[in-house]
Amino acid sequence: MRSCAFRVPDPSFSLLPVTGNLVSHEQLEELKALAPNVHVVRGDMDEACPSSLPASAPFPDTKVVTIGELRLGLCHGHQVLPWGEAAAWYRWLRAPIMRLMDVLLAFPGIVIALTIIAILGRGIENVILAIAIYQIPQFARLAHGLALSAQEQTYVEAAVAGGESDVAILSRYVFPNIVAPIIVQVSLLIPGAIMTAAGLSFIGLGVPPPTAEWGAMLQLSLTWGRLAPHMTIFPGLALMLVVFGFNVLGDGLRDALDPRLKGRG
Amino acid sequence: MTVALLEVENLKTHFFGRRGVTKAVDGVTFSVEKSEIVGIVGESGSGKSVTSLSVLRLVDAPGRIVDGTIRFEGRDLLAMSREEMRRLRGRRISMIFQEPGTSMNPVLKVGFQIAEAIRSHERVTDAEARRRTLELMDLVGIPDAAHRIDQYPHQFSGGMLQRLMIAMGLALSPALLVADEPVTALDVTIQAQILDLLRDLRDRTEAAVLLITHDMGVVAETCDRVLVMYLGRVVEEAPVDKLFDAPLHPYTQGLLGSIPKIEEKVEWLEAIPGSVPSPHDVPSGCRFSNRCPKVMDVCHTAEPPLIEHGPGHRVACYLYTTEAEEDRG
Repeated sequence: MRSCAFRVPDPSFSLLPVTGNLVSHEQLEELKALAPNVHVVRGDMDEACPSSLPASAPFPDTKVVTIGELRLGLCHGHQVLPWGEAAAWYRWLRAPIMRLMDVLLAFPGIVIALTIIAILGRGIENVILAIAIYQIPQFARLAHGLALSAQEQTYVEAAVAGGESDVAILSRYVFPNIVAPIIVQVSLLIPGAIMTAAGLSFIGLGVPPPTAEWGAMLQLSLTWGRLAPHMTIFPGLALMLVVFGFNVLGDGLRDALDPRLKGRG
Repeated sequence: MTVALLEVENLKTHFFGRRGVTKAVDGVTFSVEKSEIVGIVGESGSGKSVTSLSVLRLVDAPGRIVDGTIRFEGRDLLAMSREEMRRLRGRRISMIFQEPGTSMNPVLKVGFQIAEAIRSHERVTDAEARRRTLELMDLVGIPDAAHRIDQYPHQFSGGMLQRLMIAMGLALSPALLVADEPVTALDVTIQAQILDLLRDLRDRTEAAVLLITHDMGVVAETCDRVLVMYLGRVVEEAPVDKLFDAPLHPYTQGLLGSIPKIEEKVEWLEAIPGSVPSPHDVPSGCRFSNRCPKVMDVCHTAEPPLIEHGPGHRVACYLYTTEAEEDRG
């Protein structure tokens, strides 16, 4: 059984990780005897050292976080967008909701995420929740702003004059007209969510091992990277490609969602 | 006398802005009979649009109806709850707007939107809603309705969109259709078609129409009765032929005088001197006194009441007060 050493508190043993990646159990015991102050973490290679196995985990848990965030995003979208719309439609709701959003916006997102992780503890679900919560105000403000302009359109006035209920107006007249920018915003915030998740893992507050995570891999590569540059390059490249991919997706969605551009060469 | 379909009495709609109170509508009284087309004419800022919005209680803050009564089918609209009012809109009173291009939701198919007008007030199956939508599109003269029902608003021309708006307005056979400048954004040939359509639909569905316009030509062609508004008040009210044959109020005379006549060759068109005063700064006495060519001393001190001068012909001007008293006396 092979193990790997995680942290090297003493700089004089900086060479150890290189061998540590490859040492056998027996060798490790020898090393421990030689240098008792080396902190050695033992475990199954596949679980404890995912960073050394990028090929076996081409899509590590960043994907899970993304899908989870997306699901939660759409779900909080369902809850947040109506609030943004409602804040635009009902004047008396405007101040309480939007000022609350301003308060949330006043903190850098990562601080809110850190606070939530600190309260709830580490774990995939908590990372997803933390990211989803700090992104709420961005959606609420976008929905509010878009709804403010959409509801001034004549067709909304016409709908009111036609005796439509408030719910029908918000869901069938305002919502479809603001949903395209929101979807684009979702696709643009996904990279942000991935980066935040990676960032949280990087500082050790994200998805805990043994789950593979790009941020955690990069963190590992800080100590190992000079001698094993692939540990920096591949997770970094994967992150970059996914983030870039979602940006392209956002661009494509914006074009695809405009009904006026439909059916035109 | 039977109760009129719509009776508006002493309606006052004021806007409470930062620069003080703007009295957009300041004591307007009129009525609309069943299946009658009543026109409201006036310049920009005369309060004609606000009057029409007030009838549907659609005036937004900072505007507010501060006084008056609006009775529709014998019921007081101003005493109704929001929910009662919502159920009335679209079902008994519906409204069509000036800009057909922006009056339809651009992301929904037109057929869905017309069906939505039906669905918002009645429980109908999808098939039933679609069948009635097709009927309505035929009624307002959309060719090839079966195909166009599934198209989006941007695929229609302005005239066609206005037909669709009228179809939406008529979806539940309302008793009153309020049309706020329905043809202003259309070109002249299409205007004539839409106005013909309105008259034709009035004959068939017996819906009364309250037509807001600034175009005397539209009034002459379409309306049965006309109200002329100036700075938030009705200055003259008359059957359409009377108004054009014998206008009484100097303002009406001025409006009609500024239209070129086909039988006369003139170098200069008459115009009413000056411009409409700001509604913040209404002249005392008669509101038209600072532009009136026949102004008298009394005009500056007191506001003339709207008094009867001939059958169905009423005017608010001191030129006719003694005359009217003699007639009655």
